[in-house]
Amino acid sequence: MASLNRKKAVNYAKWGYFFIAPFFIIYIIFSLVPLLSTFYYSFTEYYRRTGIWEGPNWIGFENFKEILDFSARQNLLVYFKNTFLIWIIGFIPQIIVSLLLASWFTDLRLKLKGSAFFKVVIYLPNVIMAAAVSMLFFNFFGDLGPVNDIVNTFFSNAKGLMENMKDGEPFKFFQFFNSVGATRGIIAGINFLMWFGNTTILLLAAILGVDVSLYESAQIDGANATQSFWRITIPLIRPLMVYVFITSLIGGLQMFDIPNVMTNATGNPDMTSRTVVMYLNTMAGGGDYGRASAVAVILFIISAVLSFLIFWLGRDRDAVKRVKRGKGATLL
Amino acid sequence: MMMVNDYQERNSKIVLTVRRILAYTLLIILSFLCLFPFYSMIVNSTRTHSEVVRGFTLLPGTYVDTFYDTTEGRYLEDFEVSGLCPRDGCGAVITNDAVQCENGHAYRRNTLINPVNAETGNPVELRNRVGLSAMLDNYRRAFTDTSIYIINGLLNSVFVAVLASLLTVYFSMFTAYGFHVFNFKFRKALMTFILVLMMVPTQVTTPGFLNLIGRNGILKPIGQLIGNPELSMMNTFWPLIVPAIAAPVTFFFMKQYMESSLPLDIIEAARIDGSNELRTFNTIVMPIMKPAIAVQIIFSFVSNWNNYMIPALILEDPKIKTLPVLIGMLRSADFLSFDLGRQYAFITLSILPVVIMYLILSKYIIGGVTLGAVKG
Repeated sequence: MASLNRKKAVNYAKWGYFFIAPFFIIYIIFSLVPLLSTFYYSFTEYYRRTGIWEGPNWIGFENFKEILDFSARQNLLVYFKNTFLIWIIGFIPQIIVSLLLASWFTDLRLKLKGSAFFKVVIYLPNVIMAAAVSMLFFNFFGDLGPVNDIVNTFFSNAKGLMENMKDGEPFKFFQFFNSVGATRGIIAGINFLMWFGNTTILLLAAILGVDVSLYESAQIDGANATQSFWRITIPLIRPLMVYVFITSLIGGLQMFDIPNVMTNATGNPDMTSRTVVMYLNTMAGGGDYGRASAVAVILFIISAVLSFLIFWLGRDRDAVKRVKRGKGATLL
Repeated sequence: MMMVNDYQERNSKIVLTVRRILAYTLLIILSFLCLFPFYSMIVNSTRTHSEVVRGFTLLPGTYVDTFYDTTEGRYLEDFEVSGLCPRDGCGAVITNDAVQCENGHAYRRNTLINPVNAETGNPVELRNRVGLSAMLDNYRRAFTDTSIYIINGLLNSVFVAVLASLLTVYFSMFTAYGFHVFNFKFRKALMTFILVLMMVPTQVTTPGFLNLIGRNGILKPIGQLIGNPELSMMNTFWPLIVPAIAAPVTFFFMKQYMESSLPLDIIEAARIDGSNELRTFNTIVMPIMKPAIAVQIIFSFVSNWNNYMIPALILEDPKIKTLPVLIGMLRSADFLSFDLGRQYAFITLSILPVVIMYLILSKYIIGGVTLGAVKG
């Protein structure tokens, strides 16, 4: 350690600044300045109408009042609710399935074969373009799609609708994208499909970080798999689960690609699938920088609080560190 | 006592078998869910529209019952074939999507009597068009589409994703090296600053970012100087490439990797040999960092390839749009919903490059998830 300090003591400070300069210059120009200006614009009237820019003119909290007008049928709170609902519908099966898979993959007695293959397969959807997956599922569940076909054939047979149908009378289809629950469910399902593999592999690393002797001694003491799962695995990986929960929530808040492509940026039916970032995107794309900024600021504050929670919760817990040590993983 | 043990053992063996069956069942169902949509997508991309709307199949399309013009010696693509209805001999017309008859009968294509091409009057016959050229027909038409420039999209995506991921990886390593090897004022504070940045969602800077690259932004003074007030980075690739230099997550990964695998002695030795710092970095540090570079290039490439929101806001010219933006256009282009085969071809083209890369490099990717993972 002494030699390390001696080497660092040589005055190479100039080189240090040289190496970190590109990062900071680019970050300041393309991220920090936009972030600060977004804060500023959120208090101004700044928009483009018929190609002509108006503002930025200082208007105080007007933008915030407008987007948070709870008496209006559509307001930011509604979009937060949509986002949260879609996220939680996907997250609950995601965490359950991931926990199950991770514990099975690591189970000493179970000795599953082909786990390398399964890992490759379940992680695959995560690398695929969300926009394309969304378009694909839109085609599957759309009015001309095969799933719609199967569902409608099934229901119409069950109810004997086919026989009662008269010539020329339009058959009443069940349309997935006219149903609030179905649309949200499909978006949540895609989220689940894309992320459960990732969560499984994270939890897998955490469980592998748990001392094997704990399981062995539990086995000798006569504990069954369920008992060692609830009494050993869960308590020891709880900090990592909190981490997964909060990062997923932050990711969920940013949900955009899938609902935007699926609903063609409308958030239909009746804007019930419109997420916060879709709203932000519509405002920004339409040139209403003032209100878009107000949305962005609120999103920033919520993400910041959640991130702070991770740091705070992960601080004195040792599971995250154990993952670091055990698998060379660096989560925070 | 012996009896009880035997009983317990047998019992636990049964439990184990049941659990194994459960585990494999769930794994197979999940694998099916992960693979089937993409398999079905590839299959559908080889089928005609009318085959696609008939539902899922497991086999690629064969263009069953395609009309072949015997006089001109070619298959009809957008056709209108007229003939006589097999039920009562009334006039009947078959087009791409519809089978109609004057008396409203339903019949199959192959039962039409005396089919002729309605445009030219040439006699036509039904043939099963098989082989690669039939299967790739949707791709041929996707490549020649004049509203969605898929070849441009592929090239644009490759260009942006390759450049951006190279910049991300090189400069993240560059910055990490600065923090790892040198000591300077505010080192700790700047490190913490980057750690905090990792958590800022990119979307929250969108309005400010658009303003910055727009005509009221960073290029305005230069524009005024050279007499072009419209000068901006809108509708160019620069706003997608240059900011890649500052990637906090990749930086953090590189920093961690250096702490575990880059001994300072090597750098000291290079200094004694008279190598300057930049040269040391490029010729000595880079080779040591190869494993980290490999993992991060893959992740960075994938995230750039899939990036949708910002490119959709910036790229306006249809010829410079990247693939995700084109996929978004596909959704809003109503006319294409009448040619689902071609739609599937578009989607397949945008997904396949990354899937192939993933299958080749999956070992590194799965290993890398737990290393730099921040998203969840």
